[in-house]
Amino acid sequence: MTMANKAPVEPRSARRIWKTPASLFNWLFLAGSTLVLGVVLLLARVSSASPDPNNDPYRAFGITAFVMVLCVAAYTLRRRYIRRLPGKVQNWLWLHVWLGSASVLVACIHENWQNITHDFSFMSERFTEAAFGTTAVYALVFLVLSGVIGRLLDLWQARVIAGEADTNGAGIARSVEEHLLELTLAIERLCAGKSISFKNYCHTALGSSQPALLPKPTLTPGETDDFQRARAVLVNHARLTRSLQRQQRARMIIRAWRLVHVPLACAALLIISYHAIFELAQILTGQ
Amino acid sequence: MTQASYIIIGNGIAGVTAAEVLRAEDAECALTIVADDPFPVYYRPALKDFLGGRLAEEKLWARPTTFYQKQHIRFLHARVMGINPQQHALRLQNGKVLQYDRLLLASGARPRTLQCPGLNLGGVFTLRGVTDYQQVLSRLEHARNVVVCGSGTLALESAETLAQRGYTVTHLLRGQVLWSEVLDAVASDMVLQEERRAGIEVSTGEEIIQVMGIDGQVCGVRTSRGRTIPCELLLIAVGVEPAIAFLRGSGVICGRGVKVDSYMRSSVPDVYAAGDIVESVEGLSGRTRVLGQWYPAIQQARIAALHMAGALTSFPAISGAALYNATFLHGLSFVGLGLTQSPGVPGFYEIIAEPQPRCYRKVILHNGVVVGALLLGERGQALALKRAIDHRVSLAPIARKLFSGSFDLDAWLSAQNIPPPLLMPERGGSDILNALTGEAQADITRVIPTEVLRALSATPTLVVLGPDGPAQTLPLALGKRYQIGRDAQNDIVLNDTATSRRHAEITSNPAGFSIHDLGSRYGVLQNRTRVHNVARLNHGDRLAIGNMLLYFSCPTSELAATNAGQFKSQLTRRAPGEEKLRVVGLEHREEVVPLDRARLAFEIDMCIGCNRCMDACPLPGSGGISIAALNHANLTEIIPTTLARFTHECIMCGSCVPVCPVDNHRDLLMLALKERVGLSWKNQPDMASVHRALPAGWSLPQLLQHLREQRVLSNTEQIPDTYLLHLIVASRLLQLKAGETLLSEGEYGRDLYLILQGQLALTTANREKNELVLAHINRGEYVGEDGMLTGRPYKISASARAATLLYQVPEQVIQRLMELVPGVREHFEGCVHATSLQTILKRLELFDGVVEADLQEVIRRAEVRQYERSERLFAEDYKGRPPRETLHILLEGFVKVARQVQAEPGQGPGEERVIAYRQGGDYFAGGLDLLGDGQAVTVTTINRCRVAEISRQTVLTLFARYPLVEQRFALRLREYLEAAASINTASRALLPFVPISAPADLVAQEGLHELVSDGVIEGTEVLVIDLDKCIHCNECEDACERRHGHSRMNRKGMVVGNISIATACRQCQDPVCMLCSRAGIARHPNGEVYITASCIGCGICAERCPYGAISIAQVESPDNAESTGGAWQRFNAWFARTAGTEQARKTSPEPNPGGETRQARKTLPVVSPQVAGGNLAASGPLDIFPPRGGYDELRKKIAIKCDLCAGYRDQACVQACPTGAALRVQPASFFGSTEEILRKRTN
Repeated sequence: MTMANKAPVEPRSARRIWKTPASLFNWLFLAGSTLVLGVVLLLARVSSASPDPNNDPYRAFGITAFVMVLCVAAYTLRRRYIRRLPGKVQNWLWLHVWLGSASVLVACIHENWQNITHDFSFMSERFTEAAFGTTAVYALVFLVLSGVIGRLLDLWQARVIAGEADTNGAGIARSVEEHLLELTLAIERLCAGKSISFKNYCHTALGSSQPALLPKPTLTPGETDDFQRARAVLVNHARLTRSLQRQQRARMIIRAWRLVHVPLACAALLIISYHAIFELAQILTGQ
Repeated sequence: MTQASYIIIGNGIAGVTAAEVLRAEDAECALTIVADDPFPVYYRPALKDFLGGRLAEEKLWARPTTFYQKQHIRFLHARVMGINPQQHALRLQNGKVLQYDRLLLASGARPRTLQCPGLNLGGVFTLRGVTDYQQVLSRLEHARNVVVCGSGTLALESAETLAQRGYTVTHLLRGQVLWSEVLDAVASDMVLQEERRAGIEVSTGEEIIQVMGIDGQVCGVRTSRGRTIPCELLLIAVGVEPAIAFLRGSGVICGRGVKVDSYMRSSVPDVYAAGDIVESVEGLSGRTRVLGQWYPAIQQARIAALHMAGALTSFPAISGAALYNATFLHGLSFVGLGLTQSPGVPGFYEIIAEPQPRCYRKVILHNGVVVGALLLGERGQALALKRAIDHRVSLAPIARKLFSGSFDLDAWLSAQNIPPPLLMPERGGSDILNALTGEAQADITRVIPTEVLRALSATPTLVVLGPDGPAQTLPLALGKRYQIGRDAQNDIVLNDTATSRRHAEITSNPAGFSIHDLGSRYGVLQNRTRVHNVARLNHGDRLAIGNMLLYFSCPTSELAATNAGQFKSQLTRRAPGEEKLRVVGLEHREEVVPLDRARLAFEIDMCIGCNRCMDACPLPGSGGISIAALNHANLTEIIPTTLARFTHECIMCGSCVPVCPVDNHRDLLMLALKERVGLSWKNQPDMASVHRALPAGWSLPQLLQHLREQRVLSNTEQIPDTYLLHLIVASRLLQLKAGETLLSEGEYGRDLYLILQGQLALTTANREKNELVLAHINRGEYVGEDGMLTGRPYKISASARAATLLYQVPEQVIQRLMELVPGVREHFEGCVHATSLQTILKRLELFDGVVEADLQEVIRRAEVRQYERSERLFAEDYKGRPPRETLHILLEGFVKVARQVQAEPGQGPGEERVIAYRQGGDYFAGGLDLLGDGQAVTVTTINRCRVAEISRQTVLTLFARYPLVEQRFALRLREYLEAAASINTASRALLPFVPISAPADLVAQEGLHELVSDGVIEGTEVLVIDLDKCIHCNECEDACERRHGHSRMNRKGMVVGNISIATACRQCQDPVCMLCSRAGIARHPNGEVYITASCIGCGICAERCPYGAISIAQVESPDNAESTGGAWQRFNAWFARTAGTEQARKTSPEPNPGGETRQARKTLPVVSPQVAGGNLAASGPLDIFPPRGGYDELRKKIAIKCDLCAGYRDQACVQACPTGAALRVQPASFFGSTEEILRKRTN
């Protein structure tokens, strides 16, 4: 362990030297989703039937949307539980992203955009009619919106952390924590055997974001050199602490988003499934 | 002759040590130990480990159970009530009276306690003996909060131990400073900081004024600050006081303890004292204290016993030695030597090392002479400092560099001819005249100025050094007599009042010089020994005459080497080229130096029996080894079978060293045993195993005859049949059908294949992928040596032309053979080096046109050296030294060619600029001083390198014969010099030999340099994380842990731009980790380096890995692993076991280190803790003992490293990454090939 870190560089945007290969499945699933959407749009356009969810092909669109939603939900199975499913999680995520985005459009076509555009109202009975059909559409819309926000947050937090890791001289949060421990130990070493005011200053400065601004304590003779060193280490400590906080904040935000998205997804899936199963049952029983 | 009768009061370590010494000195004497403690002698300092549950009670005993019986010691369990020195008698509590000739008081000390109400409550304990600790242990289950009171190490250790066991501990110190007798404020603060970090509430300047209780049980304490601390257990450790009550009225003078002289004699005749009962006087300060420490007690007992037995005739030098104290203070290693706190009076000053985290080192000087040291957190030079303190060496000349990293104090002391540290009392004692005559004798260890020593010629010379004046050099002539004294008539006049008028005389004869004491008043000291009459003089001898020091130099003397060696420290490292140890299996410990007798005894005396070395030992059988027995075996003739086996199995991994609180080297103690038990290959192996390894229908003589046909094994004198038998047992028989492939080009393998019968075709593929036959090899030849020695992929393929019989010899077996028979190493290395060099020379344009015979001559004359990582081949600092005379050709590895850029005036040293990186196949213009480059660069290895060095004469001969070659060299050199000159002027260096590419992004190039310098490009499969994509979800690590039980990777690592190089095995091209005598780490033909079932987690591979990619994990049994964690963890574990588990690949053919079959396996023998838990460790190829089975073979630890999920279809980390940020790349294709990286080498 040493007192000094690798020299930090001036903060700037992350240096992008090498590009990791993009997944082919990204494009495949985008193309697939676009194709499904295109087919749905085409069928809707050529169909002479009244645009009602109970009429074909709009009813088929609903079934398609439900299947797509189930496929989208399969991502979490692959990621968290059934890991023996083939393919990388990354590819499943692309499936999740693109099919999810397309599914909401298919669902809207299924109900002819009634609740979204021209027939919007907040009447409570609308949310329960047609086996919670309207609720299911809104749930899906909110879910997809949440997903889009999450994806953007992912991009944002990755950028923030990458920038910090590249410029703080230590790396990602885990490395920063190790460096901070080293610096804390260095400060403790410098405090050992010193006067109470020296120790108190260091203790206060360790919790401060601007140690350089703290007033200089009254030092006993012979402590000045070590105080200068301790101050330099404290400044470095504060800088790394800020970097760590920025990284942690970025991660906290995405975690918070996940806390919203996952329950929302569960609830939405329940409502959509209820609607779909109820309607399908009606079709099958001929009611 | 009457039988002497010795009585020892006390059965502690002092008493028992004295008994041992007395028995050794007088086999016939009557020895009685009287003690009121019913336990046999135990390791008192290990009681804290007993309290911590780390040490079983039976391992506390410091001597084997049969000790008293074998030593014929009568043990009386009784209390002594008084002694009568006049009648040489002592009275016991039961009224009996015992007579003695000589008596040793070693009854130790009793714990002090507090003076406050409530001490009689249940749950209040003072700590001292086994009984106290047994009571505390029985009480622990009822306690949650513990208060520990005391400022000493016992309180500190107890608080630490209990906090580790999960108790809420409050530590109260009466003063402000911990262990104030030894530690200063800085050291105390550092230890208390550690204590607080561990969660212990520490309060200084606070003491207990009342112990509170309910129902007779302690429930809390009230302190001097008025607060109440609840607790169910109160431990009092406030020091000890000598148990001297029974001495009242006996006439033995006591202060705090028994007052003794240097021979440990008390004030009454024939009564001695040793151990905690003794009151010691600190030499410089005159302070009296009761030491209460383990090692001083042993030393005191030795001195006392030697004198009691009449074996110590003169002053024991050891009594003047510095007090040595080593321990751990809350995890910080500590050594205190002599005076540890400056008295604060003129003449004393401290040298303190640059402050480093968790490290505090200081030395105390008195008028320049070192008198004490305190080392906390880093105790590397402890014994060297003891050496300096023991011999009162002045460190003033080196005060500034004493704590600099590169300064070796021990080497410096050796250069000053300072004797080794005083570690144990010698039988007979040492004539330290200055102890008898006060100041009338010169300090024999006075430092002779280096310039005087350097100026000495090879002829006999005497250097005379007074206390103040300059040194005088007097040449001595053979055949002449030199009278020395104070009178002016003497040949050598010493103007010194302590010198007699006619003091001594130096005479000579053809055999050498001698010195006679002419009956001087204060005598003559030769080195440390008084000259009685006459003594022969040897080179390096120091003579003390009065206050004058005389140094005798005669380097040409035939005795020079041996005598100079007398003062050489045994701690110095082995110089290259010195005779190798007889112990094999130390390839990984080349720096190791065996302990000499004094160090061996010292370390055994220091051992406190805490068993941490055995706990840390990875050997499966180490749990059953007793420290007492191990120490005893080191001192006695007989080594029990169990210990002999353990000694054979010890792999000298050194795991035991850092855990030792007293800074012992258990590995070196094992080395001493290894030297005694001898070499296993000298003995006949199990013949049943040999016969099992024979080819069907072959007889043993026939097989040996075939093996002897191998050129490398043909020498029967160097390689006896027993070696071959061991080789046979450790090897594997292969039978190939015609056309079957043995090796494939590009695959990895480190075994050697000896052909017994049949023929192999060696082939290579050309650019069109057509197979070209290079050679056919037959019976008596071998293949695979290149891969074995270099670790690189095979450059050829080998397949059977007919039915072929081979022995597959593991690398470890050949390594063992190479260690035992240097000729075997020379043979293999010579072949491999020659092939590599030939390939490179043929490829270099510089040597175009040189005929084959001349190339062979160059190869023959070349010297190949291996350099480890970060070693310098040569440097700019070498300017002014003789020119380098060699051409360096890099056979393997990477090096960095750099130059120090001149800094602006007053800006300090300039920065280092990299001119170039060089790799295998390149040569250095920088090494060509013979062409006049002026030593302008520094060349440092990046990884392990093999370099061929061709001498100046060879190169010049070549130039003379081939002028064109000389012209090419001159052209290259000119380009190089231009590039080197431009370094200081241009912002970017010009490239010496390579056309400059378009200016690349400087930032990217910085990254490239980092990649090269950090060895990333050495890898074949590097795990990189694109931080632009990484969402830090940790799925990669979790997936790794799910699959393997332990995560084999860590996301943190070097960040270069947007890429983070994760800490995970890179599957290096030349893995330095693969040096395992047990074959616990191996390489799959595809390149994956994996941990095998033979691994026992010794950590040698982890230590060698420069990238921290290997870790060592404790093996848990599956039951334990499952029982931990809550319901959610168990739920997840269920998923991981069932639906979550990814399947292993089923069809790929895998190697089989077990050696039974060559069938495809479901997985590689990669071991995860779940798999290993409860499993036995597989034997290594060099194991000679039959497996024991059962608990003794249970694996304790295991190495954990990434093997690219060998045996699975995919890599868990990459597969689980949701954003595609984690991926495995081949550095050459991802970052650019090495060539491309090297082309971008600008700053």
